[in-house]
Amino acid sequence: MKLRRVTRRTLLRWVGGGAAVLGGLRAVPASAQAGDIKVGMLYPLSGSLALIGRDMRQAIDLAADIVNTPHPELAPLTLAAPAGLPKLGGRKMQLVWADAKDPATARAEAERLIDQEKVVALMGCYASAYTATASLAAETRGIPFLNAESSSPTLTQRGFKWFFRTGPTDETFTAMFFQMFGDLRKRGKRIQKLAILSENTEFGATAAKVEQAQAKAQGYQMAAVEMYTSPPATLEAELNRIHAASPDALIANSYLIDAVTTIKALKTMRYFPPALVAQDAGYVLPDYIKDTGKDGYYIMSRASWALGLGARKRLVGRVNDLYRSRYNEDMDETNARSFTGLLTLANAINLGGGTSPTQILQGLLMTDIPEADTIMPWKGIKFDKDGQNLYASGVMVQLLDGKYKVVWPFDLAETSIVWPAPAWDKRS
Amino acid sequence: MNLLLIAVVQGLVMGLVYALVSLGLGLIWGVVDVVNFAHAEYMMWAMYATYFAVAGLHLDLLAALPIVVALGFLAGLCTYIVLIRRIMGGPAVTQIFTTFGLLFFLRYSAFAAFGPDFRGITWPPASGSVLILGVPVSTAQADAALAALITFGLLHALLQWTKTGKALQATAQNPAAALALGIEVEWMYMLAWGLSIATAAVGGVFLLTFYQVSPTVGDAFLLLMFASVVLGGFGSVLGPLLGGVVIGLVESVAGNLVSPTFKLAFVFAALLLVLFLRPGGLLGQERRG
Amino acid sequence: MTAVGAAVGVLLALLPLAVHNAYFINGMILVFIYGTAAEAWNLLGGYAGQLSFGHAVFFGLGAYTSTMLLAQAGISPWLGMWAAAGLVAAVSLVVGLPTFRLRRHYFALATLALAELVRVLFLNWNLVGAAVGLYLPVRLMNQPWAMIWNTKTPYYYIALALFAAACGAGAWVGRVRLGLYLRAVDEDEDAAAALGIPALRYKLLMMGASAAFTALAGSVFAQYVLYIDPSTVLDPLRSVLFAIMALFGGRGTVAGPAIGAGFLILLSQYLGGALGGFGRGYDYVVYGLLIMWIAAYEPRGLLGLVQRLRLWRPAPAPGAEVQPPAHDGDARGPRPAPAPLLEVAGLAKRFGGLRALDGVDLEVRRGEIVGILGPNGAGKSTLFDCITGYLPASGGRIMLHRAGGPRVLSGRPPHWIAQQGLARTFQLIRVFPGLTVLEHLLIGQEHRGESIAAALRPSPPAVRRRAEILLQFVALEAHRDAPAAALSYGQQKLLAFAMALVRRPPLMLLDEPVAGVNLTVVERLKDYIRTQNEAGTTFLVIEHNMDALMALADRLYFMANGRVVVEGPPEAIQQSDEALNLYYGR
Repeated sequence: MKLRRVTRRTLLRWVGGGAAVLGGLRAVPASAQAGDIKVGMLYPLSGSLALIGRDMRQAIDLAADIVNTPHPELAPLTLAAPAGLPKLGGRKMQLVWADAKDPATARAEAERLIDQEKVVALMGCYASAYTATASLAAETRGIPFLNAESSSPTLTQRGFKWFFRTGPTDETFTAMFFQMFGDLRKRGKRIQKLAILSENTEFGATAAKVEQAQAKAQGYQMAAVEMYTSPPATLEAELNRIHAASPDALIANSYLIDAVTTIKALKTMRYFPPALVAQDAGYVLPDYIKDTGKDGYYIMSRASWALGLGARKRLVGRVNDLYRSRYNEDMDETNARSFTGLLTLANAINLGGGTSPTQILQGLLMTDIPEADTIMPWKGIKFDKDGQNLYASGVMVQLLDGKYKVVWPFDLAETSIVWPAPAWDKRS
Repeated sequence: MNLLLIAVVQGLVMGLVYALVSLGLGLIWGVVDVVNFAHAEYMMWAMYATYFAVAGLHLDLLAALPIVVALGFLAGLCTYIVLIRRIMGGPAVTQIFTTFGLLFFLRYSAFAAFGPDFRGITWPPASGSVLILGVPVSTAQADAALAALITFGLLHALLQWTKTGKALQATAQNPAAALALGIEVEWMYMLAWGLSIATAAVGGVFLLTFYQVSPTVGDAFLLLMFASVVLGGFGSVLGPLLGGVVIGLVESVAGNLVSPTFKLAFVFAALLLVLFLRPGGLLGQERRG
Repeated sequence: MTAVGAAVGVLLALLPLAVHNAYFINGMILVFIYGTAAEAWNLLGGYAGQLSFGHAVFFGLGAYTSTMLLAQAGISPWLGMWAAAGLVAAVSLVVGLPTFRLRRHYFALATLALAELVRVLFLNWNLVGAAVGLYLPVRLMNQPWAMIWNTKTPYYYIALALFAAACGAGAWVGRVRLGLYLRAVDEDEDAAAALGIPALRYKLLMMGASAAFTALAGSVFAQYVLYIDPSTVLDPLRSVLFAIMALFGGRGTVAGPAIGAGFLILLSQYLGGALGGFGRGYDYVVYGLLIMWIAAYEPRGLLGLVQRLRLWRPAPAPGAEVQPPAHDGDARGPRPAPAPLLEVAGLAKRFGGLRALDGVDLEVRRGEIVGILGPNGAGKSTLFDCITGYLPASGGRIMLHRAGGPRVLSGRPPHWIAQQGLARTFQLIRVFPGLTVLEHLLIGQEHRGESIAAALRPSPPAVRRRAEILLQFVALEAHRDAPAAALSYGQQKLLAFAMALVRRPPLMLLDEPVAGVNLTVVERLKDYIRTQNEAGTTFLVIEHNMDALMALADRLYFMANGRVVVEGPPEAIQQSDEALNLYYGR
């Protein structure tokens, strides 16, 4: 219902624009007759991840809409200009949503989508643990599964044939931290001693493991590693120990409440590390800024996308404008990945030229999307033998004056990095 | 700075907060002889009530305090009248399941009503930090600890120096004898429930100034509460106070000096040790029913 | 009931042939797995009355054990699940031994804390994948030895078989003596001990069985989901769900947990499917309400509701019907020679500064009826509690002379003392309200030397015959199948007396047997005591009713202030000014 209404509105605006009206109108009825391509969407729509699930759903709906209706103004974005998939006679994507709210349900829903809804491919599930079980169902049934948001490296190390991931892994993200540290050292910053503060589920535990391994490999000293169970009653003990170790940078893998608790405790202790570098999660949500206010400034985070990229890449701004006009909020770094994921999947189905699993698999293996055709800061999208996007990478953002600004790589930076972060009493 | 000193000071402060939220659990346990597994959920609802009073109605925290505490008292009364009265003297199984059902109901109706988001407030008077023995402690936590001490003082005075308080104590020691002495035991039970939830509400109000609320916030507190009460003993005011402080110290010292990862494990291990090693003393109180 | 169960089983076995809806089959597999865990929980929480909120530990340990064995050592889960069951059962016994000393809420609390402790440990234990969890080796797909398939049917039958086995175990326990013992222990552990029932042994047995079945369910769950992590299989909520399923359907029954699991899982699946994005925990709100409602209004669960509608019984008439007391047809031989049976020497009991017993010397000879008289607070009931092991004595010695030689009773647990041939009744009657009259008499059987294997069989015919005879003897045959709660006070006294008689104890301690009953029942009880005494039973009787005691007793002890003041035949006591002064407070 919603989809149709928005489609009509988009079309109307299109008519107002006056260009290629006839071409656009002709394409719509033709594709509707060919039968839509059913694709399964497995996302947490209820439970504790429901909020972020809703954000991802919005971006994916928008992406499907962009594929299904002509959007020449968004060119060269993948499949924006034509209506539907050109190589399949303009057939459209139809999204079948299912609630993947825990690992067991994720798998059961994946099976239901494949067996009963007869979807030709699956996408999901955000949380790495859910993706792990849902993709098992796809693997055993020989159905392509595309993941855009989970960062656990193990997902693409399982030797699966049907599993593909467009987004970066914790290894890529963490490697980025160390590249940034290296660049900063060249500029004369002292970065030698590190500490990790990490929540202890799949997300934090995996990230912490990767961070420790890379720090060791690159000769950094790991002064403290503090794992806690989220949500923590207090983080004082952890932060006291980190304070005592006085690291040059603190790496944080934390969910929202943990992040807020961390900042409040640091302020109480009258201590702030020279840099607090986060694996996104809690530190990049709008609620983080709302809850910590100015105290939350100066943290840094990885991001595979940032609105600030629009300064250099106009496509980012245009897609975000469309998103904003529909949902009255900005895209964020998570659902930008979901958005790109759906376009990649649609592109692969188009490339393969059919909806059989092997055709889509062929399409995925043939995928080679250049940087310019995406809204991401990546070199492009091309899968390696494990199904991991070779070019997935990210940027570093810093929260300055209430906005996440791109500060690294330096050639993409909107503004210069603030390092070390000012002490509490030096903040205005 | 000496990590041990920091650990002890912060442990004491958090311990007083634990003591405050555990107080009501011990009170009901001692007087009414019911173990309320849903105690932390009442605290959670008090936190939500405070949140909406402060963030929604723009009341000051101290103006919200009496309202939330009064609501807590009423909630306690209602719980006793509607539910608990029917299971009094019933088998332990029934009591445990009833309060567990209450836990489910309270937690997930909050979930249905407010969603999974975390919500917090900032109380300007408590936004900074103070130095206690040279250790910086957030003003919000220090205020909560102070509120704990005041609450304990008031309740202690009520129990020791008023007729009602003495009647409450008599009921705790022997309901049959209390009945024979002409004490309205039923009223005492209602009073105990009201006071119990009211103290949980005091805890919830002050907790919200430094701890965000979500429907599952009780998880982090339920076992800490039980540990405090079992450790300190129930039926008195000083028991939970002592127990809460010890639990706060165990958590803080183990967390700072040994391993924060296992700080809760230390607390649970302490609880199990007390259960196993002192069952005689603990059962001595239990034999009453 | 068996026929219904078998029919349901056959239907369930045929179901996959008719229904090909994978989603539904998935739901059924989960029902079987969780149903197994709920039935297992019920073995401990339902039959043995020990509420565990830590069963996720057993479930998780089962899942981890078989998975580690498969992934690390290549051991087939077909073997691994049994290894897991054995290991987990052993763990549960280690846990159970200290926790069973805890009563009521403490056991629930200890299991809750234990579950949290184990979860924290597993979250940080790298060997088992810590928080990241373990993937089962999917490269072994469709190799039956690895118990991994990409279809649901094999899982369906494995889970169904396990579920059937768990139901079978529950049904068996419910049908044999063990089930009766456990119900008695659940309702009144002290009274059960007075019959000689070794409660701890049977609780541990149930704990082990419960843990083993839960572990099997965990193993199968891991094989089915192919991924485990602490927040899935060690989730504390899971422990609670197992308990809720059992309670919801009906605790202590076989069908209860099965119905509970089916109802709650399918409800949750339906709510998830039907409400989709709107499912914000409404199912748990409903659970919460149902649990409170059931706990407060119908503790027997859904099944209890059905029974309440079907099996309503009229309340019995007050007082006992007068019927001629029938003789115990199984009476013993001639009266034995007067040799000492029970010897109490210098028995002391202090409560803090209070001397409740201050050096009591007492002797009961074979075949006697000995009475104990004394004012309130003289220490009579304390004396009984010390003799029977309910209170530890502070000093002195208690000896029982039996055929095998004298036995020291001091410091022994009540059930052991009872097994030496010493039966007692309580001042306030302690019958088991939920057990029927006949069941009381069945559990009264001799427990000395009864093996676990014996407890797993129904009551032997000899016990049944004896129960029927005693039923007639105390004229309760009309109430044979009525729960004790439905009896009048006098009838309950008779029942408590008869229950203690079943195993023909050589010595019976009666604490105020005729207090609070009407004259008819007083006379009948006096008759019964005399009849039994003639049949060879020795009695030690506390009684306030001086006339009744004077008429019965061969010898009397008069106690005051924790000491024996006078001892002698009734006439002598009656003439003792000291005793009368003390008795009447003159």
